[in-house]
Amino acid sequence: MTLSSPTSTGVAAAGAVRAPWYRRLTRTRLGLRGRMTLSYALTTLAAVLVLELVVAITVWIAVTQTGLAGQQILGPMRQTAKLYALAAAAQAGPTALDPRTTFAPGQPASIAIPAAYFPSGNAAIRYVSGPAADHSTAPFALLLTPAGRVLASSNPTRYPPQSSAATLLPGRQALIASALAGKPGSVAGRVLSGRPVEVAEPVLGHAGTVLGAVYAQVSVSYPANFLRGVTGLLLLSVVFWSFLTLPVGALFGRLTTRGLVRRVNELVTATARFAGGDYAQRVPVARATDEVGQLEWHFNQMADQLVASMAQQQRLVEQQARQEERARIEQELRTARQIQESLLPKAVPSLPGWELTPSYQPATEVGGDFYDFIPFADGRVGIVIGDSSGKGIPAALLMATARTMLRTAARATASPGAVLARVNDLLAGEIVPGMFVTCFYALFDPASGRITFANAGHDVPYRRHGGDVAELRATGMPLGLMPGMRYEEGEATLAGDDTVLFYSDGLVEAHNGAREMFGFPRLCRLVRDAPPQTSLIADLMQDLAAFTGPDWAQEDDITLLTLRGTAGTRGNVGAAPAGAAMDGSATRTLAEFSLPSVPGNERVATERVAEALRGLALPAPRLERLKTAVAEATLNAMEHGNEYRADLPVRVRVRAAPDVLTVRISDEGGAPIAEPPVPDLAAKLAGEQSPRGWGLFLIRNLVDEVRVGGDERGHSVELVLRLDAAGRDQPAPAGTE
Amino acid sequence: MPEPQLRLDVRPVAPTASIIDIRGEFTGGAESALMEAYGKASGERTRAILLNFGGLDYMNSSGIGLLVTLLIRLQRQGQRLLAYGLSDHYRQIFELTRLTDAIGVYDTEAEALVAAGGRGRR
Repeated sequence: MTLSSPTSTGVAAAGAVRAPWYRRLTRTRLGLRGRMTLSYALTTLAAVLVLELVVAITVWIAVTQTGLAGQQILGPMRQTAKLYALAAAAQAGPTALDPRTTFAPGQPASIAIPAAYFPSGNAAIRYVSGPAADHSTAPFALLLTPAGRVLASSNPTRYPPQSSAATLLPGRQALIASALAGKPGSVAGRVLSGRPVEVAEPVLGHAGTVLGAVYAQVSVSYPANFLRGVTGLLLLSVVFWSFLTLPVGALFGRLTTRGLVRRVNELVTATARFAGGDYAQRVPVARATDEVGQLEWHFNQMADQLVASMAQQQRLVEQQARQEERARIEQELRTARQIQESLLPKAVPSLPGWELTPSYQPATEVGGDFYDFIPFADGRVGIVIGDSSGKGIPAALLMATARTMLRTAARATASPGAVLARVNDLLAGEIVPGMFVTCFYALFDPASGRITFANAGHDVPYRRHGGDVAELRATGMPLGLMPGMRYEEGEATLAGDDTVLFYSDGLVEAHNGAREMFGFPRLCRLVRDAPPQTSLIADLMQDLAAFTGPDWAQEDDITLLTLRGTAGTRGNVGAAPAGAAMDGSATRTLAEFSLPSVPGNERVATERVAEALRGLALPAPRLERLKTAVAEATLNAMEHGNEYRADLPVRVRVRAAPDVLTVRISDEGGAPIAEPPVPDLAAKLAGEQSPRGWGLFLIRNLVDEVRVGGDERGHSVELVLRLDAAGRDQPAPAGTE
Repeated sequence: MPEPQLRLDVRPVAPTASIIDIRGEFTGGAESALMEAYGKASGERTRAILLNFGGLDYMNSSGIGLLVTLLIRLQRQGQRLLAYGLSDHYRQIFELTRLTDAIGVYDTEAEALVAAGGRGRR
């Protein structure tokens, strides 16, 4: 038993409903233009066929429904009858017809006429022997006597000789009588009437006497081959015209639809591209008056409106996104500020004889500044000021972490350096590389005025004592950069009228409209010159406002913290700025030489300078420092000035006066070179500065003075060593003196 | 003209510490040699690298730049850099450039090793 699958046929039926072949042909093979061309060609063909049909009907009517056919045969018929009459007259006697006359060819007195006599060659007229459809229309000819009797008959069976014509042809008496009276006559019958064409011709003797008459009739029912011929001709004509008109119609169709189809195609292409996302698509409007023109115009209108609508939509979306982004940023800023502000001390410890005043002015984007007070049971108080790297929430979180660690570590040990070292180790394992916290931590005893402190890369506080300002300097790396750091500890005893200003870099790094920085010298001067009775913080903020102007956008948090004595003097620590010295006279040149710019020659320069100075008996450490400075200056000259071109010399001149020694190193470098930024190890470790760039810094710190100059040949660096300044043999980091 | 000469030798002295002995001229040209030596000195457990400057003849500013580059690498690895055997002059230069903030500087190998060993800090 075979089971047919009902689903297979169902699926096939549902899956693809196949259109009839002609639809598929016109749909798939032919485009619009093809179809229009085909339509033109078919229309032309139909017109030709209709025309042919009209012609055929006309011909048919003319041939069959009029007497035209009869008229057409009448001429030859009369001619034939006349010839018969002449032939009969020629064989007749003077007064009467030859009784032996017959229509049988080859017989004596035959009136048979050769076919050659018929000028048209129309054999159909040889009716005498033609076939008879019926007796009334069968072609025949009779020779009649004047009495109206048959003398000779082409159809003796039907019309036997001696019979009376009047009897045989009852309807033809008038015609026959007319002929026997000497007047020829004829009747042209119509095909459909069934009447034959009949002629009667008198046979005239010599004297013009009537000897008899010839009567002949022939059916006008057309021969079949004539109609076949006409039909064939018509068909041929149809084929001919079809062949002629089809290509013409097609060509005409193609030519006339070309413009239209091109425009429609342009519309199709533009619509497809527009749908594909090319919203700049427009079509030229060729003629706005026709339907395609209107379609083009409406397409352009629709495209314009769509583009406008999409742009509007896009604007809305972007606006919304901007608003959301702004809201998110604002939320983040709020969060960061909340974190930060929640961690700042709510209350300031009150210290007998001392006044602690904090001021915190956050930037729009939280900068990570913080300060903290850690009170201890013995009356001492820990003072923390710091700044975490970065901005926003990361900075706030880092600050929160550092603050907590500092509090914890400060409880565990009394040494500020150990506190910072501990926090540094903890942070270094926690935070992402490149982030760090700068921090200054001081432990202050209000009873004695003693302050011990350590610094992790923070700006050092200024201490105002009497009319002078000194720094509470201690060195150490920022917290979190790398573990295992040591932090130098400093110590001072504050006098009762001293003021210490702790601050963050937001103050000194504030810029004005001319991109000038507030800077340390200005701050130092302001601290020194501020009247002791007024609030230093208020004065500083006022000076800052005057410096930056009213339209200032604060770039970083500004934190200021003052510790001010309100009682009498307890101790004294001073700061001594370095003085200036003058060059001496009576200068001698100890050496002058030049060296090609080749790596390694900086050591040759140092050795030769050292040799030239042998007589001066400089202390060894001082000579070592000068040698290093000479090496660095020579390196700079060879590398930056002469670009290590061996043909360009570095010139060295060593001169000595009684109180000053100068070493001048010159290159051929032309324009002066911009000084690199002051190297900062923390910035270098954090990737903010190149690891290199120490040369000029070393030079400046190894000799008493550096004079940078130059001429049209190149630049020069003059290293100055004051010979009476032998006490400065131990260079220390600036500011700790 | 003197040829720049440098010799670096790596001595693993503890599971967590290695010494690089520096002899000769420590300049910018020493970069590839120093990084190669560091590669040898640094293992998975290494926590400290000790630089022995006892044989140092000459160091210039690009040598200092090189030390900063090495410090950055160590910082990423969570390792410490210590130094000993520096002459007074170069010790002063270390202080001047504040390299002493980032590099523990000791007089002798023994002191440096104690410091590298971990807790022996003030």
